[in-house]
Amino acid sequence: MTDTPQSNTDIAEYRLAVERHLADLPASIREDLLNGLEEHLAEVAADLEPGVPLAHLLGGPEAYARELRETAEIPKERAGDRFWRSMWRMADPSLAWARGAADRFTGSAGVGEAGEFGRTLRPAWWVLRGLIAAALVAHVFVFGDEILRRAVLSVGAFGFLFVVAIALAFVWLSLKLGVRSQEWSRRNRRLTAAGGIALAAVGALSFSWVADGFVFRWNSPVMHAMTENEPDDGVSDVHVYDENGELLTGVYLFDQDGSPLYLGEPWSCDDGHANNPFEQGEREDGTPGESTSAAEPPLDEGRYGYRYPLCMPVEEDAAERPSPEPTDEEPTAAEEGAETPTEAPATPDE
Amino acid sequence: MLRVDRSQLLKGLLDIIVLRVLEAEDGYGYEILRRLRNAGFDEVGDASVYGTLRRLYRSGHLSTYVQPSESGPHRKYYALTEPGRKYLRQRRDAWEDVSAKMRGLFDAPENTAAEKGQA
Repeated sequence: MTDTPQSNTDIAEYRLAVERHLADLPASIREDLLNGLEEHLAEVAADLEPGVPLAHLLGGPEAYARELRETAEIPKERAGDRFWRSMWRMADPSLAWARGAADRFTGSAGVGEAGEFGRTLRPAWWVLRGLIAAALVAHVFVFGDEILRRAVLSVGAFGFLFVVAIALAFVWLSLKLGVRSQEWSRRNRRLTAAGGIALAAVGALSFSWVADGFVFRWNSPVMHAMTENEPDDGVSDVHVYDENGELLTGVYLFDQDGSPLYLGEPWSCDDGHANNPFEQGEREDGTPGESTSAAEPPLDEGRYGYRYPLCMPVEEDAAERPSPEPTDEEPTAAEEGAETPTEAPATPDE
Repeated sequence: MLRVDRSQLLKGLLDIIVLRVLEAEDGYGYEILRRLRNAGFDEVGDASVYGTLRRLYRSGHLSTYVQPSESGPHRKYYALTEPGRKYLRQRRDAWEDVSAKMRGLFDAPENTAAEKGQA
């Protein structure tokens, strides 16, 4: 019987020391172990001679904690791990097929298995990674700053040498990292690979302006409408006709949200035929009914967008308006590339 | 080195060892360790027994109850549950199977040597 204040202190201290060494266990397991530990240690202490410390029988708290953690954790997969393992198992046939296809692809080209070939490409990836990092650093820290940029570029060949120096430095670092990382644990290598992919992604985003014309033009309808600047792209002016085939002037175009549409190119008109595209106030012909009636122009600061047509019709254009008469001249407007109404108005009354 | 190897071997058997010593009679933590020592398992430490007891308790293979002790603090007794008995049977079968195969494996070279000698 050693249930004395001294042994109680010994037990509490021992338990506390063990607890410190179990700090990284999952909370539920740690709590379970520690809740009953004092009780258990008291049972052990009851068998000890008075004055003999617990450590004499059990060894040091650190060793005790180590032994405890080796036996106390339920070797049960966590839900997250189980989920990913089942996912991998599901994807396994597809992955095996993809690996086989990749092997056949590289094998047929005479460079061996895909995995082996991929390993030979590693140094190339390290160089590329270094170049991307260098480009990003130069882009953000040097050329992003107007003063620095001018300072670097104003010294002739210095700018070029500076860029080369940055590139070499980062390629060297990347190569060094690549070689070192081969000795790292699988987890750290994966982290390094993920970092490299993230770097490449940031680089791709940062330098997407290089491919601006290819990326944004075709992906975004808004960008598509707003960046129609090349003459090849068609719309340089907008001609609106009424039901009688009369060309409407002083027309504003709005989208479904009431935002002005900026179609066409006010600067593309022949000399002397350009209207002021933002002209407000009285319509040219003084009739108020010719603006778009479906949507009231928003009244914020009177900004209605372009006023159409952007170019004053030249004299011969008068003959180009669409006519309700099938025999009348069709509004070809070929030289302007303008679109023409495809259907003849239903009620000819000219 | 020999001791380390044995403790590593025993680690995989702790469940079956602890369940087995509790099969016939319930026991409390330190008493279970004494039973193991008496059975010759000197390498098994108190922490291993305690950790195994808690793990088996959490997995439902053991239940606990507290009994007052005349000579000291209350004691927490561990008893096999029905799933625990079933688990012990399964582990025991697995152990018997592995043990028999190991025996066969270790006997094999001697047999082969004997056959060669006869030939």
